[in-house]
Amino acid sequence: MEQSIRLTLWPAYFFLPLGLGLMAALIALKLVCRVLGKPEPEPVALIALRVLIGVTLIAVSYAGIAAIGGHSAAWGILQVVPYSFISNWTLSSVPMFLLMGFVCYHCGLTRGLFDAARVWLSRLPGGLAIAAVFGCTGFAAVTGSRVACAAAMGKIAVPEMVRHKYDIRLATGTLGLLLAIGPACRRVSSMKTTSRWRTVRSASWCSGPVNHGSSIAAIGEIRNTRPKPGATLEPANLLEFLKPRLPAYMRPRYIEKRAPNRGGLVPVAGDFLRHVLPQGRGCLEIEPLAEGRAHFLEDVQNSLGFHPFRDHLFVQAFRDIA
Amino acid sequence: MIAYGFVRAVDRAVLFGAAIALVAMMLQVSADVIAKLAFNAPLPLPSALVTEYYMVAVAFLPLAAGEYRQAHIHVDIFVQRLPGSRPRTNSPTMRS
Repeated sequence: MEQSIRLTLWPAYFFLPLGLGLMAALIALKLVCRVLGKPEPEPVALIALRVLIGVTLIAVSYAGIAAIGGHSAAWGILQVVPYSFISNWTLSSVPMFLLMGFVCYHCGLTRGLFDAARVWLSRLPGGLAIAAVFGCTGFAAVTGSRVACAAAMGKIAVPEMVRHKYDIRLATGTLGLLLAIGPACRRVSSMKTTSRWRTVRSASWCSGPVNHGSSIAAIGEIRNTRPKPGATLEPANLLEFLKPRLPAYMRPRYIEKRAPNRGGLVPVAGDFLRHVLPQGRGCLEIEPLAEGRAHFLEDVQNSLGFHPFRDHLFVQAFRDIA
Repeated sequence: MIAYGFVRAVDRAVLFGAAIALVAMMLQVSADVIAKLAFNAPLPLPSALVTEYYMVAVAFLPLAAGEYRQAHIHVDIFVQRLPGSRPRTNSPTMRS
């Protein structure tokens, strides 16, 4: 039914030259501005040395094909190849996943999810990165697209890891590792399964968990090189790993009773010690449980409502546009 | 300058077009799924529209916008070593 109806293709062919042409015009404008000594919109260093990688690849391949088969052949390939690569039903999950990640991030959904993951994996070193590994596994199993998985998890997981004071190298490296190895096993397993391929397929079934297990172990090892007290994988505190630990905003809150000045003790000792200390000037008092629950519900309502989502989204959109 | 205002206007227009294509793709795919599964009456040509209009618009229209924000991938290892070059203020991963 779909094949019987032909669409006119010229508007779609119009998008590629329009985008490329606008980009080229912008680059030319920057060059002209620099030659004339006018102020530029953004600090542009030597454009000859930091040519975009995509432009470089396009130019090099165009020159190569033109050297072999002439300019008409190269121009034809330049017409056909980007369009036929992009107009792909499978790849349409990539912008959809990006949109979903955007919406999830601005709803605060990923925040809650990663806080939950932090509760359960908090005793493990690098628990958040391990949570990202599990999330990547799920995404890769669902989509089978390496690019979509990496894009969505990069949108979701990396800001959360940065928010929890993870090293940016560890955060991006985790996702890069998963980008390399994650769904590769699935790609092998989707091949034609004749009896000859069955061994390959079973090997790929094994290789997925092995890959992810080894990456989890590697993350734990990286995080273990600078251990925090009580966060190392030793048999002595193995039981401690199993206790979930609440993140800060789920813990019962402490409200200030009187003047909050207690010298250097307050930042050092921690909440529990403050509570145990004899009630004196500036002692903190634990909130009643019902009130804490009310605060938690308020948080939930705030993050689920439409208005905060709208405000967040539009602030971000205007910051992007302006 | 007038040129910068023009560039910003074109940038917004292009981003707006890509955003419309993105939302239209989302709505059409979900409408197709609902129509197919709930009413057993699939909509005509969702895949053709998605692959040949929306995907191309979403992929190629914001190229200039990415260049405007310096969000394309480039290598500045050598440029950083040059005298007089400024250190990078923001990294693309932190922009969230």
